Amino acid sequence: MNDVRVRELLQPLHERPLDSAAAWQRVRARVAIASAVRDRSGRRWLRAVAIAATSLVVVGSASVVFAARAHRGTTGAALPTEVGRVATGVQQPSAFAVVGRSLWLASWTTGELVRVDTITGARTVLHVGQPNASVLALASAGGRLYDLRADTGQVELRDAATGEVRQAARSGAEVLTGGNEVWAAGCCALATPAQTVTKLDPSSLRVTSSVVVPEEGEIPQLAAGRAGVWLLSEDGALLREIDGRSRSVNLSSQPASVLVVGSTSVVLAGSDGTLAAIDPTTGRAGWRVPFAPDGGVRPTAVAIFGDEIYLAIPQHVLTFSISRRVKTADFSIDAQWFAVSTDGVWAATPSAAVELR
Amino acid sequence: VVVGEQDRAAADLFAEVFARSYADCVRFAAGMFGDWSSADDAVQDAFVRLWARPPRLFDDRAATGYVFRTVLNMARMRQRRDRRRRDLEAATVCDAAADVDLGVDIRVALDLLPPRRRACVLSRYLLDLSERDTAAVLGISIGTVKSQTHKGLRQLRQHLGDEVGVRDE
Repeated sequence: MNDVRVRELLQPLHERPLDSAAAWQRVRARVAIASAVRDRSGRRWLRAVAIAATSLVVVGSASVVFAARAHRGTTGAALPTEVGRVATGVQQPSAFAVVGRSLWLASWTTGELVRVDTITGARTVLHVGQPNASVLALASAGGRLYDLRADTGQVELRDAATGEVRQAARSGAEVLTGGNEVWAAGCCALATPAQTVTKLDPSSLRVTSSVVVPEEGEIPQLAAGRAGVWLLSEDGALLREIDGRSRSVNLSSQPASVLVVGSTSVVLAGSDGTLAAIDPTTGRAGWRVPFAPDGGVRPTAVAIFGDEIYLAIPQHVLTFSISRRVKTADFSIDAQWFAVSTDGVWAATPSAAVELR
Repeated sequence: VVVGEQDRAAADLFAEVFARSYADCVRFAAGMFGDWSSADDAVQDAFVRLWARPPRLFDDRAATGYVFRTVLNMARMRQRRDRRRRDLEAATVCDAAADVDLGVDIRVALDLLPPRRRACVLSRYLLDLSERDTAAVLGISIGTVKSQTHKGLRQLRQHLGDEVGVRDE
């Protein structure tokens, strides 16, 4: 029968397995965002998305089961989920930043600075310096992109859309941003043991203030946020606030590997498998949450967005609620860097970037 | 976020409608676009837009209809874009992006159909919708479904040869 033959020809479309659960994850995340925006404009009924985003829906069809993530919380708040993914073509990014719709990645081995448009996926490749001597660090603030060049030793302010250098200033060994402030470590003080952390004017890159820190050896890890600028010593045993009160916290009993500063939190993660918070107002250790009970897992990156802490460990990204102090999600993502945008957190993985929120 | 019982009911209903309709919608869109990735994106876009619609649309037929019509409109826009970009020819419709698991011949033949005709053929012979249901989800009359489906099958036969015949109705 003729109709039967048409059905036979179309049959392959029925045979492909579909991942309905993954599709639902993406839809509910986008719905949550859309509805949050609409909420602000007063459309009350759209608020129900909060329920849609967390409801566990199991439908009769065995092939369509909408299961929540294993680490779902119990309060009904929207949980982090993967909402986007874009190919970057950078296998081993050495630095990562996001400015608006642009992702910027540096490749140390090729000497390239790559822009990826998060909407269109278009890539722009700039050749900056030489292989193994190019961009050491990237940071963004106030819609601007900053980089630190290893070959010239300069901090550069670049056009976030084109990558064109707008301003360059004296050397540093690290560049970072917190809020709309720009900081460079090592700038203007090449003499050891004293090292200097300087605050730069975001536009002119002129030094507006500086703090000499007593740590010796390699430039330690720095993080800046509304809760101040904090330094983690190379051995992870000493945390020091360098802006303002210059308080220090002894971490020698449980050294940390990575550090992040949020609006109200200073968070450390250590290879002992715990995430620890420091109260920025008192400098005292606060809560601790285990992320790897057996330890021996070295965190590679950490970020804060809203109430969530994003922690990268080998092959996984874990998220934790700051207010509830519980793990909220576990993604199978091999993240090497995080970059925080106004909408969420981007994780740079080999050859791709993943947006989580 | 504080939500009322009415909101909760709408959200649950939306999730259930998605669960029941997603597979048919994606298969339909894959037939329309010729690749799974575009199909998945289009269906997700349509469901996100659907959420912004009044909750009375959250039933299976209304939701499926909304998604199908969205996909149909996207297919029309895509066709216009392709027409502007290059001369319309048979080879263009079987481009490298096509990745559905159909035979090349049927894929090319489907792509040669105008979007609405293609939608009618897919609704009737891929999803086994009745003429009445096809008319409802595509927002057209039953008479149009009949004529478009007939013409679609005739066009398929022209491309595929006698293996697809047309039943005179």
